[in-house]
Amino acid sequence: MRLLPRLASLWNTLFRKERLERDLDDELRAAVDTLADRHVAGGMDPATARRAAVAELGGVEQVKYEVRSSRIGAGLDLFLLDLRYAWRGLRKAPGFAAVIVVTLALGIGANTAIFSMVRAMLSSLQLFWRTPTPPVRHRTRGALVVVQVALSLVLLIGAGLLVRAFIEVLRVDPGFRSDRQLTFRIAIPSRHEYSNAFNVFARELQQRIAALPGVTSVGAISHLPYDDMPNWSLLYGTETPLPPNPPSADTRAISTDLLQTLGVALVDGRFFTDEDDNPKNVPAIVDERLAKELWPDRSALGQQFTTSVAGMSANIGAPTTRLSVVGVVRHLRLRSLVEDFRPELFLPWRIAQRNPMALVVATERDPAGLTAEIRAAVAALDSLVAIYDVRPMRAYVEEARSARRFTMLLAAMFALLALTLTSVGVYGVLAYGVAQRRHEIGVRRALGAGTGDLMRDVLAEGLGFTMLGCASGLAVAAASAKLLQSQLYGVQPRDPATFIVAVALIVVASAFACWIPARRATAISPMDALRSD
Amino acid sequence: MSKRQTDLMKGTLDLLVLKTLALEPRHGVGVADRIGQITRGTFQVKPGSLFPALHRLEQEGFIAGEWSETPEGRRAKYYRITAAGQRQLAAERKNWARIVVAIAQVLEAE
Repeated sequence: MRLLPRLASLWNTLFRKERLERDLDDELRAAVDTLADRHVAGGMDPATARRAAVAELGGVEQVKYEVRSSRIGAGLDLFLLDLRYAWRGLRKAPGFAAVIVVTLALGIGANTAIFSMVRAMLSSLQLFWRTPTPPVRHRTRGALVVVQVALSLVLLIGAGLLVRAFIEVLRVDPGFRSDRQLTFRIAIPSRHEYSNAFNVFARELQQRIAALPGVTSVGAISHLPYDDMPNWSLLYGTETPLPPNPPSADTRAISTDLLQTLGVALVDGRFFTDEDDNPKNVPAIVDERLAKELWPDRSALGQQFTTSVAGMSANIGAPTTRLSVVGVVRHLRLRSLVEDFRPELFLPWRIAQRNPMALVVATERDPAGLTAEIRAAVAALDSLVAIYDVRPMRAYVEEARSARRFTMLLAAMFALLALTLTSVGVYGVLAYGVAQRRHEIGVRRALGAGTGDLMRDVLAEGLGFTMLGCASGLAVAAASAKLLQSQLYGVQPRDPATFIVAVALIVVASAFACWIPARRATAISPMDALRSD
Repeated sequence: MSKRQTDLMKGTLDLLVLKTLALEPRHGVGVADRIGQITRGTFQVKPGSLFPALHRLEQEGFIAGEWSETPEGRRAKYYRITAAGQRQLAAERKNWARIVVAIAQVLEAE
């Protein structure tokens, strides 16, 4: 009855979407025009009339959304859209996609393994077993196990690499201390934003917090490590004007005492002092990389260099400014824990005047009590200013590590699961084989075959599968290890140690899996086998 | 608005649209105009809520749309009621009458 028009609509929704969208667009456009015409006729100017028309319609995009959602097949369409999006996402991250495919394959293999095992258990209960096994079936199962072993090996290697990479990441030294530093952010209100008032407020703030009991030192920095504020960088060079395509340095505005608060040691020169606030003669602290790059054969102290000024306060009136190096520090890992490409540059807060700022407080005290006192001190300074994001510095460093921890744990979990399933698979195939060949084994026993021989045969078969699987697995792993490259900090994708350990694990697991069927084979007495005749 | 109330609204909007188009073919804005006109302003349907209803009715086959020109010379998609739409309109009118009677009974009850 009403099925036909609905089906036709479903077809349209799924396959004629472009035309539908175009029609809808035209229709709404025409509606807006009609409404706008009326307003214009009523005396409005065209631009306002259009706006009024759109408002009357209820928003063009909104209406389109409503129409789309109410279409027959909208749900299905959305689902297909999701699928396409997921496919695109997988294509962009081939490593991840590979893991998924491998896991799926393992799942299928697991099914086979478990069924093999169940069958093996069932058939070992059979007292009458006369049908000779068509060799093909056993071989197929064997092939499946080989594939399982291969896939498990690949997963184990992947997990092993990730574990090693994670350990390397844990060992990375950020270059600054985070064990007893508390941080919080503060936005300096605009009434303090004239250059001098800003500095006065900033200095007062720092002094008051430094005066609190239990505080060892206080400093301010424009960007906390690894946080999600957009990076600030300046172009730099030795000459004015800067040559085309100059390199850039990650720049941070810091107050006096900040580097000391973070436990950063000087390589050369001095830290910033309260006197460093002259915009005509801007002092800078650079890291060793920048120093070596611009002045490879002499000390950087006292040298001048040029930078762009984007992001600095408006005091500078030109596109570039000259900075004088007053201190050199080691390269800190401020922007990223593992990736690390640009040199660093520190400018005095008083001159760069970034807002909001983050304050870092070195303290032995428990943070909760100190936080309350800090809030009080800030409120006393200006009752309308609030602090936010109060967190220990440790938290930022931990977070930078945690993403990798998750990937590693996930991979390790999958790998162990894979190993277990593979062992089950090997056991299943061998047990089934032994059960199938009871008769043959019984005969061999009757003819004088020893326990050792039988066990050796079963083990040989099992390990044969394993070795074949390992060989293919190694080939696949070696070929595709590069997919993981982005996650492997400090580890070669073809790290031999990991490969060897993974193979060893699989061989050991397989050997265990072979053991029971092998023992069972030896338990078959010639009498049992012959009796079933 | 509770879900039940919204459902009622959707049903009554369909009824109003079908009846309006049964009188003569109109485009989206025109339907909104007409409903506002006839009800002397009691129902001011925003064109924006009307279009989803129109498209739904079109998908169900109760109305059919075709592109044409307005008297002012603009292109617009005109909708007209179909035979199936007439049948649906009759059914909805009966249903509506029943609802009205039922509500009246509840209100009159002692």
